[in-house]
Amino acid sequence: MNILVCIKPVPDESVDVSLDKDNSVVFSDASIVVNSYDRYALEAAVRIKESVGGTVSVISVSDYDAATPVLRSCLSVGADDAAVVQEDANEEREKWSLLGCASKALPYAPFDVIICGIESSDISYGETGIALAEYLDLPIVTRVVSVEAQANGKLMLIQETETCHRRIEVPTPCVLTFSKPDYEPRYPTIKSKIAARKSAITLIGSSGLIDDNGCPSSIGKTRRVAVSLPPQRSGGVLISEETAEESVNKALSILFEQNVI
Amino acid sequence: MDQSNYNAVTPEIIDALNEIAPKRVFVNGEINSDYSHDEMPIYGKHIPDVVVEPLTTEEIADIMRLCNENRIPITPRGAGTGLVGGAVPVYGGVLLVLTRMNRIISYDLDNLTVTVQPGVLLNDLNEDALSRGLLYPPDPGEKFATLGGNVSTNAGGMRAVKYGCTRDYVKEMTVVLPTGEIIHVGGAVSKNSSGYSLLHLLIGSEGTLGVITELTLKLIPRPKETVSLIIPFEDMDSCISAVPLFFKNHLNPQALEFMDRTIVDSSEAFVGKQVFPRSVDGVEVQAYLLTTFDGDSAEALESVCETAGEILLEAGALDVFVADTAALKQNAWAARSSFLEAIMADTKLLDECDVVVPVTEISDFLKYVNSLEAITGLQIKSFGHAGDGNIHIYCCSNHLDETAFILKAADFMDRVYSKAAERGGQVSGEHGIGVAKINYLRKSVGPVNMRLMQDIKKAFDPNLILNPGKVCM
Repeated sequence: MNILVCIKPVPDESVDVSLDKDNSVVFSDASIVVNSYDRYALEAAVRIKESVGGTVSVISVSDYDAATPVLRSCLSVGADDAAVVQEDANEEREKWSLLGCASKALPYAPFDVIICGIESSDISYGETGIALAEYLDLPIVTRVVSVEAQANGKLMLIQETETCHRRIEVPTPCVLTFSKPDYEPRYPTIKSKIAARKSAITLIGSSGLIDDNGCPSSIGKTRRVAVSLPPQRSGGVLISEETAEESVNKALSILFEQNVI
Repeated sequence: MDQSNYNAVTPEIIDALNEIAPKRVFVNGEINSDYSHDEMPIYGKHIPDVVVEPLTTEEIADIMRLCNENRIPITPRGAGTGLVGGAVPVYGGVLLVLTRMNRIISYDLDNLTVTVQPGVLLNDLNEDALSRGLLYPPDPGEKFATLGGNVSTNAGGMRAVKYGCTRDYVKEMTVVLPTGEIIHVGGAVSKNSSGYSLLHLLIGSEGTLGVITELTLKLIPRPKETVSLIIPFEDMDSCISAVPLFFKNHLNPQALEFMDRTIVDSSEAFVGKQVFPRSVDGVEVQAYLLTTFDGDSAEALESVCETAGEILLEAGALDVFVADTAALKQNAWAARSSFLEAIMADTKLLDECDVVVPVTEISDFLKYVNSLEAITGLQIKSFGHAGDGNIHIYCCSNHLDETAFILKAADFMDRVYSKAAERGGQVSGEHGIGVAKINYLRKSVGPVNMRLMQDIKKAFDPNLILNPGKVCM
């Protein structure tokens, strides 16, 4: 089974973000890592490969230099092949259309399964997998936490919802968006990291990509108008009287005055 | 020394305490029962007669003078996370709870120091220092202990192998003596040959010589990069045998911990996350090393990790797993940080020791310790700081009653401490002596050293009011 995993390089989630004076997001000194949900997607893909054979390819639409170390880290945990679609600054194309076009040109195409994380930790639009499925006219299952390849060539999935886990069977080819499973992705090893360092990462220029209909571009119908921080909550009230009893009494009287109790 | 050495806490004493620390004096039903023990209640519970929560050095001096004049025992206490009964008021009296003195007072960024009150939690200082690009290197497993408590036990922790223990980071202290006198020890200097070091005598004295009321601690620039390695082995012997290779090859790890499979299983079940591999290429893992390297560039660290990887694979490691992102590192260390809680959650009765032996002796010593499982019928769990030979050994039982367990545990501890001494070890690497390990200390250091310690205690505390029943008398 040949699987493609879409990888987004994102700033390390543990770093605080802020906006500069132009309202651009500043990630300070954050290192660039694989988006968490994409790590889960990749682990799921590698587990399928280990179970039924095949290949795992990874792809990013990103700056080549920024994406290279991130994709190498994917190669060190089981991916066989990696490519970067370098966006053309003069073109306005949605990432999912670039992914869709590029996916057909990769060495292991056509793919039986394309897996994305459900969303990225930096922007959190959560649209890539869904738009990609629509673009490629493939069935999609979202919020998957478990996937198993069956003898009949179909996939048995577990989809996580707010209230339950659903078992869903889906034919291939298909697109999945992956949520957090109940296991942790594997760690790279020294040997696999050294091997990954020697692997080539394919560079694909976006300007050469043309989709099935000959359409050179798929201009987004949505536009980011502005970015702002959530309104700051007003500061809390610190109650620190001399005794616990006095503190409780003061807290109660404030709540009473505000008609909360 | 016994209870007859001391006077009872009278209503007049309570009134006097209330005058010194108004509304911060607690008696009878107002006293939280947690104040009768630390994390090891098996060493005995003793409820104090009165709890006082001071806010200033001067208040502590007044309280100490009052207790000294009236021969009332007084025991300082931080967060109560100790493991040898060091903060337990074994003769009752006054419990001096220092957790409200929890202010980070100031940073001196020219000299890279921070001045704190003793009740600041290690975790709070860590986070605050990191946010300023600085690191407080001592890294004991219990992050919610107070810094005063850390200094009192000369706590060590994971990073001791590279950066040393708490002692190495204390520059100055303000201390209230049992007489009520306030002294200042140490200084903002890099060298000091000025007479006996009272600073270093007080560090690690477990609150028996004075009460620390202010601390100036040394910081270092935060290392720019860190990488952790998880290194699985087929057995504990090959795991421990690999430890000296880190030093022989000048790898200089920031942390180097060993752990056996059973404790990793318990701890990962406890934290609900599995990251340590259980088998590698079909071989069951029985032991692990977990190490961290730090440095100023990712490239330099990569080279160190590759060298370490080659050496460890040659030495029999089943593989070498790399944690090089914040999430991977956090997950790798989460299990290690929860060992004690995981053991406690799994166990009805337990006793522990934290002997320290020469690094080259760890393997044989552990084999002996594990052989005691069959002899004593107790379940043995061990982990520790492979890099400095400090081993935490827990004997556990879920089926014995407490009396039977205490007898068996005493037998186990006698054997363990004797073997540690035979191998050139010491009674405690970082937890201290407290009330629980005095007999083992006596056997270990001998009568002359013990007498010197007792004489020092009397010089500081002629009426023996401060934290009586601990360390040496």
